Amino acid sequence: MLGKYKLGLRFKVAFALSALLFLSLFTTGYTSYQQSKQIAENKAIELQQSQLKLLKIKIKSALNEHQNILMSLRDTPPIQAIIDAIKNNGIDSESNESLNVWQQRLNTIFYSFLNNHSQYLQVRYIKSNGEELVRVERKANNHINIASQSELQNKSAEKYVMETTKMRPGQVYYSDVNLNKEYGKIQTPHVPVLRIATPVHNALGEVKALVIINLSTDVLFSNVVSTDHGIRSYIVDQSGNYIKHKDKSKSFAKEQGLDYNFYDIEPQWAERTKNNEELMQLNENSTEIFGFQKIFFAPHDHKRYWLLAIHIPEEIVFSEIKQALDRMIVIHILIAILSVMLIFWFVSKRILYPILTLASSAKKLHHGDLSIRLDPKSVKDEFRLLYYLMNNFAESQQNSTLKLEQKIAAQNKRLSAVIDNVVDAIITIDAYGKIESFNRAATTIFGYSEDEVIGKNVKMLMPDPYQKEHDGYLAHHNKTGEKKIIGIGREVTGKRKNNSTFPMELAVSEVSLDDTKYFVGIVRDITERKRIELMQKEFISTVSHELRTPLTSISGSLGLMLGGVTGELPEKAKELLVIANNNSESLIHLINDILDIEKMSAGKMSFDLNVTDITPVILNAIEANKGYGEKLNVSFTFSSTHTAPLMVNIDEKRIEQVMSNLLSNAAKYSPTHEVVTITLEVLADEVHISVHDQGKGIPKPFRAHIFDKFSQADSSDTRQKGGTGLGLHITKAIVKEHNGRIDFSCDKGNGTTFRFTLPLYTETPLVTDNNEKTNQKALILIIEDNIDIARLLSMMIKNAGYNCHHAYDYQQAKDLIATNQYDAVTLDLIIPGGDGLTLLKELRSKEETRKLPVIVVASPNEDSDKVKASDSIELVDWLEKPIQPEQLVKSIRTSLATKKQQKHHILHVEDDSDIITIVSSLLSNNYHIKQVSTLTEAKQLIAQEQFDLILLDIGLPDGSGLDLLHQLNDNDKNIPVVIFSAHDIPVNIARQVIATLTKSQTDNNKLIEKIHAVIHRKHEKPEKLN
Amino acid sequence: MQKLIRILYAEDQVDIQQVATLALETVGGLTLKTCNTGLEAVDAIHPFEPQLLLFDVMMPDMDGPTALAKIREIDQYKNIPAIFMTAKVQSNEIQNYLDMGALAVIAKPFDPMTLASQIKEIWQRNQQSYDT
Repeated sequence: MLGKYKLGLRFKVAFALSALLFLSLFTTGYTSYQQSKQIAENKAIELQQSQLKLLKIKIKSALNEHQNILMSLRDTPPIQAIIDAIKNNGIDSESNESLNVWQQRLNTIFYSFLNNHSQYLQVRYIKSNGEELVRVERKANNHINIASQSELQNKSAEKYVMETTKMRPGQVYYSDVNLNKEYGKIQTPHVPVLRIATPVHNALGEVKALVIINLSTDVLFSNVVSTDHGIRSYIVDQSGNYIKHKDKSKSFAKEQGLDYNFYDIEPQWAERTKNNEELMQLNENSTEIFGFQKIFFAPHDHKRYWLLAIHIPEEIVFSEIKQALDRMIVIHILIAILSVMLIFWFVSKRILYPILTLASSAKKLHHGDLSIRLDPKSVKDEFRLLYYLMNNFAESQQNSTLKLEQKIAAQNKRLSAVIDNVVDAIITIDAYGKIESFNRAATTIFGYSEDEVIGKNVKMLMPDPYQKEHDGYLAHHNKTGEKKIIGIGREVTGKRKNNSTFPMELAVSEVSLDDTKYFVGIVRDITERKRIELMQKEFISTVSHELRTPLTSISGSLGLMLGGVTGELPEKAKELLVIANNNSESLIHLINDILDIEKMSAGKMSFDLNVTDITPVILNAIEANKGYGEKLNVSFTFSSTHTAPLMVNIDEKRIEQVMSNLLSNAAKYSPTHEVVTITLEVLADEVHISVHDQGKGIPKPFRAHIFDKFSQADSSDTRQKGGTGLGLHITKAIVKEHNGRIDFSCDKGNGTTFRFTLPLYTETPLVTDNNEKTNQKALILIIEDNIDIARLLSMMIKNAGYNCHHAYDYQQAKDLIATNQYDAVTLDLIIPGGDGLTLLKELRSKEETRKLPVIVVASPNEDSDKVKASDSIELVDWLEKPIQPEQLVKSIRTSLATKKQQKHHILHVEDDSDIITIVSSLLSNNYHIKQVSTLTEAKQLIAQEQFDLILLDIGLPDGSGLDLLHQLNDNDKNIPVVIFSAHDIPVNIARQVIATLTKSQTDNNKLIEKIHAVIHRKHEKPEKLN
Repeated sequence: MQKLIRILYAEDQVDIQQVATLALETVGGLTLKTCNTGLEAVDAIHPFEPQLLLFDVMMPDMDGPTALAKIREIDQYKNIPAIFMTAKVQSNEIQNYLDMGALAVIAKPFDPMTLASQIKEIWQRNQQSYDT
């Protein structure tokens, strides 16, 4: 983030500065560029105009020159003399010389004139009637010819003669410019000719003749030129004929019979020439400048003029301006860049650099680098203060941080000393199981050095199956937050570097630091504790055994003597023997209680739960304690409001133990000849059993501790009443294990009531659902020839939710049974085509139908005994017509249940093919056996199918069968496991399974018996074995 | 149904032997062959030909279960019923004895006045299950 600021500031400042400068330079530059361009252009146009004007003036002055020459020619003496001579019949009156002489003189004058003025083509003297008197002309070969008398023509029809003769003295006539003609033909090469004439008047002021000169306009217009650069300059007359054009063919087009007129060629300009005398301007597209000057060559006729025009391509005029301006722009830009750099350098050095330095220092500070110091002398103004402040801040921070660090270091040292010196291993891992820390105790416990484990997955410290499951646990916890072990101490197995395993206690807590999740695991090696525990347990077991051995002799001897085996005893001796016997019995109780307590504290008290009616259990317990009560002169009475069975899921022996305890206590604390009342009642979904005595009650201070270990009302009681003080403690534990409660109530003077509860057993809905499902699928075959009865049966069966098929005779029944899989059959004994009994026998003889449940639907007069007595016929039920629906449905249910239970499923996990063969041959008749040889297959099958028993080998190709046990325990799969292995099974494992059989020591019968026993213990009430 | 008469009894504690002998012979009217160890019991089997074995579990030389296994190796006695009488009667221990093929386990200390009837009952039950 800070980095971005740094870059940003520099960039922004540079950008802003350059943008600002460029903007101002651009606007000023652009406007001045535009203005100067405008001015320069105007100036250039003006220049062009004045140049054109100059050209016009030159032409005009040239015309004046010609005019003056003409005037001087008019004023030569022969001109008037010839007029005079003509008037006086060929002789002039002044000098008396002949017309001919004057003509000769004029010829000479004109000749020398032409000789000296090369631009003139012809000079003539014409009488006002059009007769040529003198004509001197320049021929194409530059030869000057004086026209002879015969060559002279009459020109009275020519316009110049007519026009000129109308003029007053001194006036001049200008002809149009034409191509010179010789003998009526246009002379080639073209010679453009302008005729200038002036009238000659006599003394009386009458027009008598005219002098005319022909002038080649080539010289006159010689300055009107076009260039190779595209400048076009030309002259047109007022009617648009080109009289000077760089392309000769375009000049005098009309005379040559061509159509090429200025007004057609340049209409846009021609339009503007009409009302202006002069013009110089840029055309609309700014491609060229057009200018013209009107030359009014005929002084007395303003309608006639020449248009001197010029086209100048724009770039010729402006190219220099443009170049100059371009240079200016470049210089501008250079100046701009230079100034930006200059300003930026300044801003950078004076403002940005300090700001950025401050920023980067602040960033370093932010990241904890407190060593930075800035040089205040390197900057000026307020920055110097900021530098000072920054230095001060850093320094003070550094000092305090240093102190803090020292403090933390000391604390860390102390902490790591503590962590390293705790006996427990402390391991932290990240959310993915990677080990982050590993204290010294951990290295001792696991045998790894710190370097060997840091960064590795904590799985390496676990044996299978924990190792495989750990990643899953972590992922699951990270996803769901569900805690399997966090916050809950657990005993697990650890794996050392040398692959040995050991029991350990693991406590894991979750820690969140800076949004990162860690797990702290505290591991305690409990090998030693376990060893001591085991020793203790064995010690207790041994001690109790060692105590029992002498007690056996003592109580045995006493019992025999009291039993009269040694003959009649003296009364006093008998009394003493009774005392001895009672005390030895107390001792035995004590030992049993101690063993129970030991089991309870280890959580190993085992319960053999069965669903049973509670009432007989209570009655048995009362019966068993009756003798004890009689000894104390106390009797028991039992009352119950229920006659129907009250089913509870209990360990009968343990509940009897509870009852014995409560009954003996009640007897002990009852006054003699009193009655102890036992009541059984049902409240909500619980059975309440209470034992009420008439004793003096429990002393108040003692009530809170009545269920504690070794508690009795007062120590004097112990001796008086006997007992260990452990009874109620054990009683409470047993009741709790049965999900019941126990409490007591005392009414002073009204005795004490102990009450405990047991939950009534109800079948879980899941099981009912399953039954319903199977029922719906069940398919029943009705074999019955009477259609009405068949329909009735069908209706009843369908109403109960089953499907059914009909068979009306023997053969049809056989065919249907052969093609369909029936769950049960109802059979009429009298059917067409054969009799029911034969069919039944036939069914029983075949393997596939041997177990098919058959319900006989018989007529009342049939001899049922005959059928029932037949060998090998298993009937589910015998129903007599008329059939009651409930009866039929009940019977079908039973038959389906029978069918379901017929063969139990056994999973045999074994890799030895001989054993597989033997076990299969031994068990396959009575059980469905699925055989697998690996652990993996076994796990798959267990997940997919239901088994009633697993016969498990330990040494398997892909692991130990014990792993399967772990899995079954974890999954709460309540499948009994019988280990059938060549190995000796350790006691702790043996406890987890129903039975263990050692291969070498187990014969075939024993195997069959064992499996039978286990399966039937599960499915029926277990057989009491001792 | 065969009546129980001859019991081969093995117990290393002489005191208990005496009590049990009185309880079974005098009170119960049975014929007892008493041995001090398992090994003795194995040796005594042939001349005595008992109907039932009543063995202590922990004995010097050879313990009860081993002696039972040895005896059952003999073809004639391969199905001979046996009862262990022991002070080690925690539930898992009892299960172990049953797994070893014992018919029942009687806990020490026993009631001498009912011991014989207790054994007879076990015998009877076992006989019945065989008969059916």
